Amino acid sequence: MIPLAWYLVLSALLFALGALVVMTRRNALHLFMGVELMLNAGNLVLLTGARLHGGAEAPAAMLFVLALAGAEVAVGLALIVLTHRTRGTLDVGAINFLRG
Amino acid sequence: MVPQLLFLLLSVIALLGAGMLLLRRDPIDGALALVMTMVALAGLYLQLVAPVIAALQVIVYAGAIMVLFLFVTMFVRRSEEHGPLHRNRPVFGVALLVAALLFGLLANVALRADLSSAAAAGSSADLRAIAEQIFSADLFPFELVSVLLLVAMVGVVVLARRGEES
Amino acid sequence: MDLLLPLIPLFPLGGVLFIGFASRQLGEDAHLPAIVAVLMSFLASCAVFAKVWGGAELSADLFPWIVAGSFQTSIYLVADRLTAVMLMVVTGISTLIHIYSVGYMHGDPRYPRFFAYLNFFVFSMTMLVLAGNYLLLFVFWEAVGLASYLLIGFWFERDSAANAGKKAFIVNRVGDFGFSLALMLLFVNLGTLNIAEIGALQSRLPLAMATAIPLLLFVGATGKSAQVPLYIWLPDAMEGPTPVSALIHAATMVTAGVYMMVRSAPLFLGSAVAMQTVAVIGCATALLAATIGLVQNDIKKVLAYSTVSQLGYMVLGVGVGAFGAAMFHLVTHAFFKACLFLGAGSVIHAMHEEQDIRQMGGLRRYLPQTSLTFLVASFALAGVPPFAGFWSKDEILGAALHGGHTLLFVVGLFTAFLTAFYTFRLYFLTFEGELRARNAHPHESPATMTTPLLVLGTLALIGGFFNVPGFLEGAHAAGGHAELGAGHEGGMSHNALLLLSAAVSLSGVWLAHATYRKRDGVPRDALYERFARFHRVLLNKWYVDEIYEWLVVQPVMRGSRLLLRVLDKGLIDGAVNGLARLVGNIGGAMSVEQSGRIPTYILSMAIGVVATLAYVLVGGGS
Repeated sequence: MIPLAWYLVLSALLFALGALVVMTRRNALHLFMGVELMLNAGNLVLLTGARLHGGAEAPAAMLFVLALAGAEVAVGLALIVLTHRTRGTLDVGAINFLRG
Repeated sequence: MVPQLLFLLLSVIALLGAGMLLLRRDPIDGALALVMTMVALAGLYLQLVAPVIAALQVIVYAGAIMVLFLFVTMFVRRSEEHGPLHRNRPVFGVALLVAALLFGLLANVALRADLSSAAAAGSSADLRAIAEQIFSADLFPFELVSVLLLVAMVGVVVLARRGEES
Repeated sequence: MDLLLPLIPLFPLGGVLFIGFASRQLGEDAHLPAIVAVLMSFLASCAVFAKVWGGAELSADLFPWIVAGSFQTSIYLVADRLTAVMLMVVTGISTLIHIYSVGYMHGDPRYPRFFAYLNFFVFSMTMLVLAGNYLLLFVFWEAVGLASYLLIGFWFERDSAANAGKKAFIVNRVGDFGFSLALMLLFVNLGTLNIAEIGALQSRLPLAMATAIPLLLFVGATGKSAQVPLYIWLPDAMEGPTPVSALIHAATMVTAGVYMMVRSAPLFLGSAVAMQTVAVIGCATALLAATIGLVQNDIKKVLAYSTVSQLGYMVLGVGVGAFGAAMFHLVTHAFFKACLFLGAGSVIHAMHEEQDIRQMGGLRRYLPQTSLTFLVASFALAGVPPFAGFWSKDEILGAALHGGHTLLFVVGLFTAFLTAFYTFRLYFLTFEGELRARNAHPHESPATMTTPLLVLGTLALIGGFFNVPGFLEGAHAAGGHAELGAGHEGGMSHNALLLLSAAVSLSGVWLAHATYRKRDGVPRDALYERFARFHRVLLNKWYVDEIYEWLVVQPVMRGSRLLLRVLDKGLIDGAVNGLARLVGNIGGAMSVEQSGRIPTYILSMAIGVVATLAYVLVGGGS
């Protein structure tokens, strides 16, 4: 039997790595993939919880996360394509639409 | 012994994918690495006795979402000339520190948590149970998510049309 | 549920909407839908009149309007004999004046708008008359005020017209304030605003309320019906087009106050103090306005003060409990005053916008139809038998005498003398003698204008034989007449009164004739030279406007300026601007951080997350 703590530690590691990707990579695509990685780490925690307590709440929540991730990716990628078309780059360091 | 080995193997694959995502310059490599991580995670879900979720993980995440990533990546790839990491060393250092702290804090929680009831609970997350959960107790969030997906779809169409005009 | 009732206001409402939306297409044909709408409304009113002839009462509860907890009210229309009489007057005279306006407003650049406003007025006025509860009545009381405001300021390019509109609106606000207070007190004390129910419940009011409520209602009426001290807006309202003066500011809207008081008869009868106040104010208004009317030189101003004065008679009638007589005078006054105003409009039209009667004279030869109808209506106004005004005025004076109000009777009689004098001063200066203006080429008005004049002139001639009080007696004014009958002994007999009244009127006419019927040149104001100082006071309208200016307008303006400087500019603006500057400064400081660089944002966000997490899990953790 595998201690459930292992799963949690693995999830924490994946989450931190995802955060690192988001923080350090300059390509907008990488940013999004980092976010996906973090979401997956979160899912892993949810399923560990389901294993711990039983019941269907956690898997259901996971499904919602899945759907949200789908929506996020669809809009995000559309934005990326649009940005690429108008700015010619995906370097988030160079994109400053928000500059006040 | 076999389950533990399997866990380790899958973990290593997942972490390897994450590491490649972090370090490889080309987003195509990153996307493929992420697919690898996700498949490994699906394996871990199977180990956690959640076959339905594992299947969905492969179909939706590794299949649909990451394919979309790949598609877009190929679409916009040629302009990616800049380096993989911040050239700004102090920023990278700070980011590394923050990530390490994050891991430390989360792992701390994980290790301190009381997981003793693990043996007692079997997994009941079969398709029927999940469906009952979604369509009874979680019906409202479910409807919200469906609206969100619709909004996202409309938004994407609008964004795509805007691109056409300019 | 009688669907005839909503039809009456719906026709003109349809007219408003149709003209409003199609004004460009209609152009100079805008009068057609307007006249048709009002005519249909008049026919519907006739049908209602026929239905209530036998004393029946119609009602139509259309739909719930406001439902809030225990308070609920609906669009509820009722029609009894009183309503029917009022409806006939309103829609009938409106129809005539719509037709008259075709000629009078011809060529005006805002021709369609004028008819839309007129239709809006008819809609509001009929709703006011039909209203079965006070709230609905109040809403349309305000709506006719709006129509009046819009039409007084119809030629808003002229400052005087725009200011007159404002004055009417503001002065009426004062009265409406009293009216709304009365409604609140009624609801608090009786829990309903239904007019019929309130009439039945009147005896349940505590004494203070039984006095306060009719007095407050009367405050509302002083605004709308131009009584002392709120009459000052009506003479200025003559800045509006003349058909408007005839319809709104003589025949119908200004009588809404009288109508409202007659409707509320049970409330007024419940308080002797209120009745006494109403009678005194009405009598004072009649006298004051008549004295001012003696010296005015603007043809419309004379008629305006005469309207105020006649409204005073009606209010006096209400005050002495002769509700039927008040309504009778309302009806006859509507006939002859509308006729006079329309005649004045015809004269003004003929004289190319000249309104000063010192420039006129001898117009009888140029305007035969106008002068004939004007003469008939003048006799009616002066109270010469057998013209309409004689009978109704006499009813009121008789009721005053029999009710024991001897002083009010004497003042009323004296006012009748003044009325006869100024009316015929106006007539002689305008139509007799020689034309005094040079370069004037008067011409008779077109048939669209003279036909309504002839109709109204006929009504002014025979209107006195409509037995309005008798007709209303069964339905409404029973209380008033019972009182009148009870006080019959002790006074002089009815025939003696009639003779006295006729003699007074005729002597007024004779005095005017002796003074102004000169064939040559400008008639000297011989009478006024004798009383030069008094004359000047009258010419300045007793300085009432100046007193208002000094007592109300200036303090308000000064106070407002003070508030503007100290409170608004100093405190409020200071606080707002200071706050804005503060926020601006903070924003300036913060904008350094808002570089727009996404990596910086992400990094700071992550640091924030980690710090929060650390605080929750380690630092502040339990």
